[in-house]
Amino acid sequence: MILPRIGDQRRAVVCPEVTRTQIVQFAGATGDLSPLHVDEPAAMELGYPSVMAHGMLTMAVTGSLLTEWWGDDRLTAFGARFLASVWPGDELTAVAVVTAVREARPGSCVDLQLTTTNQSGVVVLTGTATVRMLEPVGE
Amino acid sequence: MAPSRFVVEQGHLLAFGRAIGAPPPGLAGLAALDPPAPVPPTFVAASALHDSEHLRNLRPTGPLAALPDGGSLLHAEQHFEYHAPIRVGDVLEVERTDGRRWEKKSRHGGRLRFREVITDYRFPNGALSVRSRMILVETPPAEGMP
Repeated sequence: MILPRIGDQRRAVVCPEVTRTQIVQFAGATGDLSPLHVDEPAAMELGYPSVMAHGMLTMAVTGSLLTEWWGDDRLTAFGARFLASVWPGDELTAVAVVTAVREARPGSCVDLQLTTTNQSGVVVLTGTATVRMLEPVGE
Repeated sequence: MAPSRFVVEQGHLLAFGRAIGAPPPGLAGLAALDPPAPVPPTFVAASALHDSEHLRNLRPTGPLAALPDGGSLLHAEQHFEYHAPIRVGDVLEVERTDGRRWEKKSRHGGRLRFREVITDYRFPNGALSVRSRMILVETPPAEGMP
């Protein structure tokens, strides 16, 4: 694989439409059955307009951009801050930008800045990731 | 918390993949590869299903259990460090420990309480596969993040 350059980026719609069914599927697959995600009356009682998607669901679909770009065995770190709620009906777009290409032994490491937004341009997640490369810096 | 075992099963992986919109043929073929392909980067977050104490009496348990005062417990940040890939068929020991705690004032003048939960996923030989660092925030009702 050719080493990327700082500023290289990938963008993808990582979730065309968040649905209540998807949120429930994710709750079932992960065991996170918080009422905020699966009990709409309880979520509304707390002041929310509906159930919301798990932050981990947003992170997981953002992660799919990383694995599609870099493969599934190169990540050494992946972190996210959940900045805004994701609701049923939202479309999520993720962008990953190369911020550094560093020497590591063996090979090199590529640092990435991640941003995921909804259909209104609201940033719902920011994050970072690091990818390990076999190729050394300078080749 | 006592360590629990996390058996990485193909059916569980398929359910997780379906929930995040992963293409089914790719996931269905995971176990057919030799060695099986690594699981998605955030899959370890699904290990709670293998904890025998999880959802005991059909009530949320663990770090994301509801707060007794009616406030919201929200997941503010999540960080993973990857040391070795996890594949279908692996059996991992999961050990959760409490990390730092701190407080901040919210934009509305309220008090936000933050805490870290560290979870290590290790292979039977003790080698670390993944370290998870979850940051949770406790907020009053209707003042929150996802």
